[in-house]
Amino acid sequence: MHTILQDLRFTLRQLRSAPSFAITTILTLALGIGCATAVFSVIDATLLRPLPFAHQGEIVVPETLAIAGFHQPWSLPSYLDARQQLDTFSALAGYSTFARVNLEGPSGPVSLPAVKSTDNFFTVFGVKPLLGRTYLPGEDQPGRDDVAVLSYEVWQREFSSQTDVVGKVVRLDGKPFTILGVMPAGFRFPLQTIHAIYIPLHADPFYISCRACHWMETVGLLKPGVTLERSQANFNETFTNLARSYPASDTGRTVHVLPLQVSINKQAGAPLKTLGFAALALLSIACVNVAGLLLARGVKREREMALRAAVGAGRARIIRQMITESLALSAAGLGLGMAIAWLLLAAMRTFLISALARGIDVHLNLPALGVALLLSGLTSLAASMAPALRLSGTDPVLALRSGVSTGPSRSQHRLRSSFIVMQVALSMVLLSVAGLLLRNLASMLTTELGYPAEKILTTQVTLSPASYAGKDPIATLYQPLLDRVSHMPGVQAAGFINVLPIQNFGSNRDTHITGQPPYPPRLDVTAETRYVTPGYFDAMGIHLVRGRMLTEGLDPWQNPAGTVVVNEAFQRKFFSSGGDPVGAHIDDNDKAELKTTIVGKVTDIRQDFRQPPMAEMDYLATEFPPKDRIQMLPSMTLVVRSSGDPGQLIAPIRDALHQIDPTIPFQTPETMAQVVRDSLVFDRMENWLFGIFAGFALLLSLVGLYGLIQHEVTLRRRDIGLRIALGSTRLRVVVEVIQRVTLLMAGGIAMGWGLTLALQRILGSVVEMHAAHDAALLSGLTLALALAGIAASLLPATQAATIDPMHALRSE
Amino acid sequence: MAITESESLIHIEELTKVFYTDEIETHALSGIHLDIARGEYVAMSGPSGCGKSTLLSILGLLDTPTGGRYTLNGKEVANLDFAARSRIRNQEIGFIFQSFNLIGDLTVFENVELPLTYRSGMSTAERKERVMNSLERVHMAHRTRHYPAQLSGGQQQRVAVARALSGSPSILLADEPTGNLDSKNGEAVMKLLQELHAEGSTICMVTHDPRFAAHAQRQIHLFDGKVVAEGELLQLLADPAHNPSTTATL
Repeated sequence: MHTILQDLRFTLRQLRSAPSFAITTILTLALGIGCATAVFSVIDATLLRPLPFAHQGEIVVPETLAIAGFHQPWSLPSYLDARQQLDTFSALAGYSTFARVNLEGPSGPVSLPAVKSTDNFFTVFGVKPLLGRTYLPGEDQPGRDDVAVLSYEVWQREFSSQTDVVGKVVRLDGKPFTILGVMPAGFRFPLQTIHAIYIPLHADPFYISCRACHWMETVGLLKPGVTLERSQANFNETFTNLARSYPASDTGRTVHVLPLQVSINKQAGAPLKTLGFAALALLSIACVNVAGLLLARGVKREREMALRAAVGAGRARIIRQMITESLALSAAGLGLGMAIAWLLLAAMRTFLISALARGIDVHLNLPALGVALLLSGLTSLAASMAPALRLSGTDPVLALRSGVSTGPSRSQHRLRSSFIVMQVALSMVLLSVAGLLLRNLASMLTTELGYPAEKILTTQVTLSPASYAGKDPIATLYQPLLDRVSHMPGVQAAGFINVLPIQNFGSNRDTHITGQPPYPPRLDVTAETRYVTPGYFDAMGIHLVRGRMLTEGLDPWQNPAGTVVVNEAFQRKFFSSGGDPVGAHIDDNDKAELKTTIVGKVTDIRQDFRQPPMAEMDYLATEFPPKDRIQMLPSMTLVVRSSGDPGQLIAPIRDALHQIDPTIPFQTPETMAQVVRDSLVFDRMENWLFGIFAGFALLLSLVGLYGLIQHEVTLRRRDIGLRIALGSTRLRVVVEVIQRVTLLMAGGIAMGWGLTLALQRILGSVVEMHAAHDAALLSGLTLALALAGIAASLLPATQAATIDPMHALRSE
Repeated sequence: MAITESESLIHIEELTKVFYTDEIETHALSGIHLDIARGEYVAMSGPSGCGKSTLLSILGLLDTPTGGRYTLNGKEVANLDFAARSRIRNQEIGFIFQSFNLIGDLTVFENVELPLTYRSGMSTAERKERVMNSLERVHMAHRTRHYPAQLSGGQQQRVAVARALSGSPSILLADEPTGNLDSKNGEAVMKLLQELHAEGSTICMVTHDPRFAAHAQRQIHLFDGKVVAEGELLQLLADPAHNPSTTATL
């Protein structure tokens, strides 16, 4: 113990006497450990940590697919039939997260995400409430369903953690609801839904019987001992029965039963794993960099080690001392690395919460500390092993020689050079991925949207249906608000839409054009359906191509047949073999005179950022009779086109809304550009992280390269001095140094390319690579890396060229 | 007076050392016979390249001979492995180097303590006592907390001697101990070695300076890897055909 403490004391003293070595090594380790720990924390919280539910292994998500193969949620009648027929589930719950509710709290109205579900929802998760109870069987039925369960966050934030909250009556959407209970901290479902309130389904009567309306998701708890395969077979049989009973709506629908954990990580799992590899690559770079630094330092310490050997230190004892020194360095690196990890996670917090289902659970915790400890221990062992083995074998005879170091051996030169090649190779891989991601993101952000995204301000207006019972929300709220907003200075146009482009899509229905032959069964024949006010088209910059726009004058709700405008994508999808959509009818009623007429065709805009424009039919919001509007349009998004800074309009819009109805919560408006950025949050997070890792990797490689060349120049001072004395020009000295660097860089880059190609499948989960398409970008990155390497060696090369030959020869 | 093998602390017979570099064989030592008795003070001298340092390296178990026998304190040590040699070096041999070889980041106390830290089973108190005794013997006990850079060359060498003494070795091997010192400090170190010898230490010193060699009880002369008599050495050195450069130096 005493000798270990002595080694430690000696190490600290040595580090104090070589501060630049100590700082470089500790920073290098800290960067590697910090980044790896931060990424582990993300992977732990999202992929490894058990879900906060009892029997999580038995919870499954039945994903339903339409006949054309795309994801299509459940209809309520299909769900109820399946729930009755399936015998492999202890509970199969239906839920929807589409709506928000307005809670009239003590500090004013607040809009909360609502999880509307069937009565057996909480049975699936088996989590006991913190206070009160959850739903009893039948509490999703009309008359018994005005009850609510609070999430822990809502209980804390909106009810100040009052323990007597159970049994209290609160107003949700203007209607009284009794609070049944409070869920414990950490419970939430769906996992990405935070600050939620849980209420029973409250399905609209229309949806109760509509088999073609697919809007409900399900989650189920398997009976004990039931396998996934058995449950899948049970589902297949049930879906076959449903298709037989309801061929029009259920034919061809299939289900894919997934374990909950798999379903949650379906999209983020592979990219996160790749991110884990990137973090390990960075840690490897840090590790070989430190090994290189220790090797270089070892050359300076040969005499010390020779002396230690001469006075009786065995190899094991010297190795132990070297490892103690390395562990001391890594302990400092660990401390700083944890700080870096904390900073990284703090900086990524907004991204994590928005991009990952369990992003809010990402914290630096004990497992992360454990992994950081393990990583730092392994890194220090790996980094110190080569130098320790080498130094422990120092010939003790060296102690007898006066003032002479053997200098690095050829094998050591080769080892350090191979370290540099390895670092450059890994940097090349990370740079390639980061470069491609950045290019993809940049190209997505500059995608032609069809409107000036920075100038369009949007805010969702969600009214409380109970407060509008018997009222027409268009006449009493939406239109008066539009009138006020339209007259504000700087407003060019304003309108409402029920589903804002980019933010959401998938509100669609199967469509058939009257007169066309029946479509093949596996063809996707859906068209997005939107309800708008006339000003919406101007606000978004959507132009009329043919026919006419919708107007309340020409298209009153009293007309027995509806009217729509369609977009160009609609024409491409439903009139691919020719014909004019304007004047055509949608086959949505048995009676010819009641079929909806297409009156105009407008330009496309993207509904989903990652897909080309989809076929869309736009109805006037006033299409619904006034008595139905509160059910059909409880929430609309206001779209305002501004001629100046849209931010200037936020306060006037809020005032206008609250002048009309002060009970409606005002949701902070976002420009369409912000909506686009929000929709790319996962891409941005990936980009940000890979960019940081690539930057650090490049920095560490260049530090390593600089260190190697600097070290070589120092050791070869005499040689270089002699060469200059014998007639070599200074330029030639510089050229020789750069030639060596070029060789190392070329080796590293070639190896990096090899690695990139070999890892293409893994990297493909993050970014697709196409040699021909990406050649210019990748060549540019390669050139940039090579030039950066040469630039890093210029200083030592210049120092080599300015060596005074007389001084160098004398000093030996 | 001849020393028998049983009386010898060091006994070597037919010792050879050959260095192989590429295709060249260099015979550094050729059939050396040498005995050093306990308590003896021996000086080894000879021209550059005669094999003094090679012989000292082998005597100090820093190197192994190519052939021959080497017995230290009655034990055959010529062909031990690295670990065994380390152990014997630590317990039986004290080194004094020309360039002192103190570790700059260790204090005087820690430098002297260094060989003892490589011994297992020695208590801290015993280690401290030994270090202080050694430092007192070389009159450096008042500088325990100093670092080598804060000492003069002569003081550094005295600390190096204390380090050699701290392990109570059977023999002190000194390689040109005055080589890096001015004459005044050189004399002081030689006086110190004489004092240690007078107290019973066995010393083997390599030096090329006849003044310092004269301090020893016995002088051994090496030439071309062989032990030669003093008269023979002078004859060889005087022969310009044999060694012109050395002759010129002399």
